[in-house]
Amino acid sequence: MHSRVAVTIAAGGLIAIGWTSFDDGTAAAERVAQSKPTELRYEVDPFWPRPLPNGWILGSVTGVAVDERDHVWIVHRGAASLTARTENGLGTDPPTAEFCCRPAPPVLEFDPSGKVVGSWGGPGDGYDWPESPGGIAVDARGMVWIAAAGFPEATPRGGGGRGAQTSSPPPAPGPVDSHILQFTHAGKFVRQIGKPGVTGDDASRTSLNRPAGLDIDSAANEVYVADGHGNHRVVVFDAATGGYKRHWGAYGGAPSDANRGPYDPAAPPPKQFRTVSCVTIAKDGMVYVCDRQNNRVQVFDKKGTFLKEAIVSRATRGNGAVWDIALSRDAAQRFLFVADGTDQKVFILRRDTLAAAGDFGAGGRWPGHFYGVGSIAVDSRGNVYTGETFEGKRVQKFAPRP
Amino acid sequence: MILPAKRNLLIGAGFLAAIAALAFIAGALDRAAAQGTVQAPKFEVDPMWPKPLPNTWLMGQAIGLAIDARDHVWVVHRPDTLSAAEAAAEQNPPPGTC
Repeated sequence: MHSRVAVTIAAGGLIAIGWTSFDDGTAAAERVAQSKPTELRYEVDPFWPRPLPNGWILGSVTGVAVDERDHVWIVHRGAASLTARTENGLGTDPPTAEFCCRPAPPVLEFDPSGKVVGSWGGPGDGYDWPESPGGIAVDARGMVWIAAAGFPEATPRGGGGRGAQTSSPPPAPGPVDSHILQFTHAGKFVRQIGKPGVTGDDASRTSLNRPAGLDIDSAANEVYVADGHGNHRVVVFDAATGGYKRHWGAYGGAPSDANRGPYDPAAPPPKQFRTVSCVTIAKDGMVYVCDRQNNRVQVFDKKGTFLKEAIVSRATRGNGAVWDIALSRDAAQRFLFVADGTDQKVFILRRDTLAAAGDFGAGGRWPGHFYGVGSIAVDSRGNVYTGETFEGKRVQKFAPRP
Repeated sequence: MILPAKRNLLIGAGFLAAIAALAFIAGALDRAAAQGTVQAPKFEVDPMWPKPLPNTWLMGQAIGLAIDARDHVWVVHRPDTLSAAEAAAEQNPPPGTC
């Protein structure tokens, strides 16, 4: 019944995503009714990516990016997020399975057809591989940047949820991730900013606290860091030297580490960020910041001057609604895609007004559904790619529908 | 010099021989294939089945599957294997709509 409703509404020019649209009952139907017409319509491509080689399986996917050649890059948590008994049968010692599976290397590069054409990552000499990666970005020079988002200190390691039993005790917590990493396209280490276990506070010029995401201003050669799960700021470094440039908090003010207490949907917008989970730079120089657990997007210029904000899904609690942001690839970048890993949706906002323009996706495991959708990117043809963390563990492609 | 009639006869006989040879080879190939491994049906996934569940339902571990006389598919699953984050809409207050 809901599918039929969706199709009818789609014919009227609203966002649609084939049969996966608006199938989650009343709440979604109400949202559809409130959405504004737009020409954007998406449908999942259930055959992208192609099957992974070598018995590889993905762990929790924490970052997705698209490079200049429309190759899709992901980073995932690997063995630390896999269930030994059912997902890592070839990666355990001794192996418990004959055919399936072993963790794929942490960084995978897919060509536009969905074939793996590059893979690397993991611990190495001269740098600290994240205990848990966060976002990934590829700059105009082809350099690959990865945020080390880590775990809260008290979090047990390993897969989550009942039924995610591991056959061995989870590894002991390591030093808290507090850094970002730069590699070449081929995975050769270039630079690290910050050091795990040497946590920087909201005023630090040398270190971070569980940075969640990053983006690169290739023209200015600056790296913008969403800092993060532990801190409450955007901080900018010189991409060539790693030197500190500037930082700011919510509304462009000084960030504070003061305890915010739980999110209250009825309260006025907080003066501080709660969780800075992404930063995305538009071609026109506007900087979009995810304040995840405050359910909002804040917009700045490159100097950190506050411009505007928008609340997305105000009533959402839990892990919050604004996990990652991608911009459409038309010349004007007219739309914002917001990944919401709590409501399991991608919200589409108009970039000029930040008004809701639609949404797609729903909770579940079938094609076009989401579980922990926390990362998002768009290629030059307008295809949208999503990464799912926690027990979602996949990357999906959504193609614009004519 | 060969007369035209005899030449045509020769050409015709040649064709017949060629066809007979091809038929023999094809038959031999068929017999060889029949004596080889039994070919199981080939399968491909239908990623659009089943349709999305209504009412924001989510399945836990699916541990039993059966098909009845009407080709209806029955499944039994373990709802309590869902994590709190997955069953968000069940919680009070619900953290999200899913």
